[in-house]
Amino acid sequence: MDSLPERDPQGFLVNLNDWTPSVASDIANTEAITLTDAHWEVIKLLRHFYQEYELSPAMRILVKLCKEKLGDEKGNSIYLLQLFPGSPAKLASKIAGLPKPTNCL
Amino acid sequence: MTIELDEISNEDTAIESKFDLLIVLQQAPYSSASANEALDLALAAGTFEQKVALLFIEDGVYQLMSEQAPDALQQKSLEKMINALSFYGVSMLAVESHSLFERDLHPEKHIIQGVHFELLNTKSIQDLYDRSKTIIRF
Amino acid sequence: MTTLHTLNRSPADTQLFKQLLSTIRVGDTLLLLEDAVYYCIKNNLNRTIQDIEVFALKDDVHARGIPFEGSDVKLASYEEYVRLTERTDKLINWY
Repeated sequence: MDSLPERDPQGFLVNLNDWTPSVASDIANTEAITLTDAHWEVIKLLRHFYQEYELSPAMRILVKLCKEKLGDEKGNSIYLLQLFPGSPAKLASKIAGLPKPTNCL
Repeated sequence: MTIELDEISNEDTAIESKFDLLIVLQQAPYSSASANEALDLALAAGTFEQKVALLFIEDGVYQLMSEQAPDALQQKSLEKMINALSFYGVSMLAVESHSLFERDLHPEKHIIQGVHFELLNTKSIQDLYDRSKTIIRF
Repeated sequence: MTTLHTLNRSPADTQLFKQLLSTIRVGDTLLLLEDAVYYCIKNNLNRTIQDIEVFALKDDVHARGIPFEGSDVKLASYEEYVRLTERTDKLINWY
């Protein structure tokens, strides 16, 4: 955990290239989350989305993305809140090594 | 009774082509933040299920160039933002055809592929303004 | 007396380009910066300014996705930009 790369005051990576799966686990630990396959599914989706569009999706778009790629069962805010409690879009982006979502209303 | 029926049918036929927000993009990218701000607004409005139309006109058509690579300027690629619009529910991208012509730009040669743009003439642009509730120019 | 002219505005700013044309002389150099690199797409640039060597800043050209094959304009890095300022007597910036 001392090996965590540089992060901003809110815990987002300063250099996105510093991200590795083990960095993701470490960031998740600081948020009291243990990553499961269900988490990884969303993290991979987010990283893919970012590669394609250079955007961190806010909540509504994250829900839409999960709905489209993972199905209705997972494409809803209750499911995402269980995985990433509090503020799913923000927390999942942080763990996935993306910048903080804008328009995070 | 007749009047009521008329009102209903009018709304039904026009519903496909009315926009809550028309964003007009008329400046070239990267030398100012204007294009970035306009697209940010489009993504935000799309997120909240507003019916959004974008109109690229004058130097704004340069935002549609394919193969943009602004890494050396340390800026975000507009091309990627434009590709994201449809996922964010932005339903209509229009380009003024005369602006392309004046700049020697050819849709097949210079413009982002894989995104659908409506080519509009001056008359259809007036029509687009008429069909939009709010218009913001950048 | 030679001059390096740097131009920052897009071809849409015709007033500015007119002023530049009235000032530029044979033997001068024109360097396209920022939105002026869109002149590389306009077919008629070399017909308008004959006998002027034209450069465009490489980073600005690549950022904007401008195709470069067949252009008479030369690409210049920032180092070459500095060299251009050294080889001319003075500089005018058209902004």
